[in-house]
Amino acid sequence: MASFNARITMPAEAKAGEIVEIRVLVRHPMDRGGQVDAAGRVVPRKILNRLTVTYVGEPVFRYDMHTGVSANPFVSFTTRAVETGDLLFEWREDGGATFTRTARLVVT
Amino acid sequence: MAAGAAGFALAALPASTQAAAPPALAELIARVTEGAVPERSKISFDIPQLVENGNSVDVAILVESPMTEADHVRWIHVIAEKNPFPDVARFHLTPRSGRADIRATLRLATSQKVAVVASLSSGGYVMADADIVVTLSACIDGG
Repeated sequence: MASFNARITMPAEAKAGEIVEIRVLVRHPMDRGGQVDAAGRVVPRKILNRLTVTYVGEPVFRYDMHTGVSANPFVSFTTRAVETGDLLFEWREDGGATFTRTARLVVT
Repeated sequence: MAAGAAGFALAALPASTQAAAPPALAELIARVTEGAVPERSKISFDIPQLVENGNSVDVAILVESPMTEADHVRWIHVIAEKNPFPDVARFHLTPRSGRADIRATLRLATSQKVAVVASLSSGGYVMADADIVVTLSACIDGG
């Protein structure tokens, strides 16, 4: 994919101990393989198969995706605010490509 | 209609794991719980009963858990028995999740029973399921 478009929605700030909701929407066709495109070619499987999220280096969430996950997949999950720092989002695509984004959470 | 039928056949092809008779839901659940029978409690599964478009179905899963080191949900697994690949997704949680509260968008190939199974840190499992009617399946078009 030429560009990787991810929208991460979460609060910028939270109180220590507060549970924050993180919503992640990615633009991706999640081609499950076997479909026929407009030109009559069979489209090979190419999906994002995993999203891992770490929070200041600690794994806090992982989403294993198979072909039953929709195109432009959305997911929301929660994490407890513990310290100010970056959440690192890493997607793995079939074929081995990875995409990363970070979002900062300030803990007061 | 012929194109639609061809599309469906092609969509079913890559599921080489699929035997002639698809495994029943109970069997699919037993596979992820290593044989244990999950309790039907402490988990709520919110999914529309009638889905117009199987290409993107909103689901919400909430497991009652204190999410402490001693007592938390390790993962939540979604099974759609009649999808070409019935294991749809798995969400891995930790005590730092605070809550076991997940929303996601999934594909449903056809009308079927969808189950969610949660693995607890105690070693037990809980589950919920729902019968869903899909009027436009996720296999017909190319999207």
